[in-house]
Amino acid sequence: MVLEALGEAVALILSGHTLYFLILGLIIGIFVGSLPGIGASLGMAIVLPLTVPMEGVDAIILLTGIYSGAMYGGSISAILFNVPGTAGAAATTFDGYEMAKKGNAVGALSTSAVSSVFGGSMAFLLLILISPIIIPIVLMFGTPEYFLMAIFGLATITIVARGAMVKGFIAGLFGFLLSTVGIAPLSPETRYTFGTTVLFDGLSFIAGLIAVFAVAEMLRLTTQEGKIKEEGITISGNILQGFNTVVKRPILVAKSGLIGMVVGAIPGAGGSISNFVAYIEALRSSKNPEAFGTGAAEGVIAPEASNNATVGGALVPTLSFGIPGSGSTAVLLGGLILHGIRPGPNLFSAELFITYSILIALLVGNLVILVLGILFITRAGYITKIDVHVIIPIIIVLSMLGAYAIRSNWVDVATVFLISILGLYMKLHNYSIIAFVLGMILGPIAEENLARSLDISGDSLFIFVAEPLRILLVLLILVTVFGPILKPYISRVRTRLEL
Amino acid sequence: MSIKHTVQEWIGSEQILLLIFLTISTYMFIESYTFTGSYIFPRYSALVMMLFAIMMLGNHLLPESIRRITTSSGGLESYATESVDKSTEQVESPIEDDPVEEEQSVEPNMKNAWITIGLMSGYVVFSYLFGMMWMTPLFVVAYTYQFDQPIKVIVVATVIATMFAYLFTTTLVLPLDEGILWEGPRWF
Repeated sequence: MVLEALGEAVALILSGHTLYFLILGLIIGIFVGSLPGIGASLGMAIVLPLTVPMEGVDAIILLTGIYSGAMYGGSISAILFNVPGTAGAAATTFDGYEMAKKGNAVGALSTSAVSSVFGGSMAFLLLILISPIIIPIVLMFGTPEYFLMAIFGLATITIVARGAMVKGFIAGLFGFLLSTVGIAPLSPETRYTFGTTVLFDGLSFIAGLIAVFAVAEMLRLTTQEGKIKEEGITISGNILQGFNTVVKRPILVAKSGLIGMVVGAIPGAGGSISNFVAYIEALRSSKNPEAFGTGAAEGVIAPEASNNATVGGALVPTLSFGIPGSGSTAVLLGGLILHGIRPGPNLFSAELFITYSILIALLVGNLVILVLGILFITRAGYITKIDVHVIIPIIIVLSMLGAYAIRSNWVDVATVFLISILGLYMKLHNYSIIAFVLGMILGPIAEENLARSLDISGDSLFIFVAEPLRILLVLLILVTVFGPILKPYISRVRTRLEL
Repeated sequence: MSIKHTVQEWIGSEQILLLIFLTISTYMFIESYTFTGSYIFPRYSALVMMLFAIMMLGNHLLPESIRRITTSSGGLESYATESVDKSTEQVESPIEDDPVEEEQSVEPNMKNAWITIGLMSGYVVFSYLFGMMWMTPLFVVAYTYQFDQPIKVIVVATVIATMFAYLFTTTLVLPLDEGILWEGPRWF
């Protein structure tokens, strides 16, 4: 089954039009990633409604291309302007910008491109190799397990929430409540429709994604006038230097790539964490730690190799259990659901070729990043100089057009408008946007699987503790929810015991 | 201190946001009693959301032990940021600012945001009435003019946005050239 699916996936990727979507996605990704404040989730959210007429696999490859491209693109403004284009490139600023200030911007950009390619390729290859191990695990999951996994995904709000956890829960519950509007799953009952038929199909989660990732982000940018466009650096240096620097440090690249992949697979983590962890590890294990922060090439290699590998890692929980760990994977999950591709056992059995197509597309995409990255290097500065007040109206227009395109329904446009205003204030007051999105996407999945499970068990909740795997998942949920709350008390007890 | 000042101090934009959450969750909780079957999830989610919103609104009145729970963080990002800070302190390198998204200040220039929201609301309402295809260039001109862009930039941005609206109308076959008050010129 595995080899057959792999063969089918290779044939699909090399079929021409799929490759075209991949390259298009990468170009869009590098472009949006290099614009500070824009990033992968926004680019993917805007493109999502446009994928409606496309084949499911092509749409997903286009979206993953944007995701992967943006991970590299984020380093461009990090190196040239000390402003990371994406959170995944934040640690790149430490040494990348220092290298650029010393007149080696091209060297830093090529180091970033080559590390991204090597780190990412290693992760995708590894994923393809270990997929035969993942498949039987995923296939062990049935309806009750999927309900518990969806609840676990919602529980990860405690991990994803930045700032107060309660705020994270409010955001998640708000997302979930919005998803209950319309016809209930597995029953003909309508909820919160005010008696109007336009709300029978509910509020579109894609409209929600567009609202919080695109429009609310643009509104937030308007509040930070003058912070985006800064004086840049003269682009000089040697392209080949980057290649040589990375090739001479295979262990650092491999280690950082592995860190990226593992951290990416943790729901709630993602590139914004992995690049720091990889940077810290590179600094810790370096023979010359004093050089870090002054323009050390290792300080660019580690975060860049890790953030592209994060894409591969993040695909594991997204494709196997439908749990998005970050904003970008949430949009990707939205894309999967929009195109009728349900994450879970199917993607590892009958539709295994789709999973492999995504992984192979990303692997091929990495080689394209190398070419595009090098082509982009000398022109990189122009993109980042685009004035924010030119980008904002165009993104708003694209968002509104995209919202209407979802279902030709004005309710979606109104949803984008209203949620974007709430989203702006949620961002300003640190109410986790990812928690909101998790609630909106995972809520209906949890509700549907709960209804199915209770149907199977004759309304008995014991179905959720009837097997060891389910008990394990219940424990995992409890630890995830109560762990952060109990942590200070446990540390206090431990300190007292030590005294 | 006047009552007005005290009220202004307490009712900030976060409190208004929480009041909106509280209103929505209360409505959804009450409405869930009209459902005959699928009420479990919305009812209990709304109930928990109501409780959390009340907790946050009355945070300053809570005892210290409960307040700690409402403000505690389990975020991985804080761990990463703290770790990098510690590591960089150890080597005393000249790393200056923490480039991770800074804690958002509640004092940013909200005037610009509300101008944009105002323009956006006009864009949405007039698009509904007369068609998004025609309102798109007007919105882009209004926005870029409002934010003092040079004429050349206004023209380029307007052309790009109009092109997108045209592409959406023709390639996705959307009736963006008509609104409820105007059926459009039927050019497409």
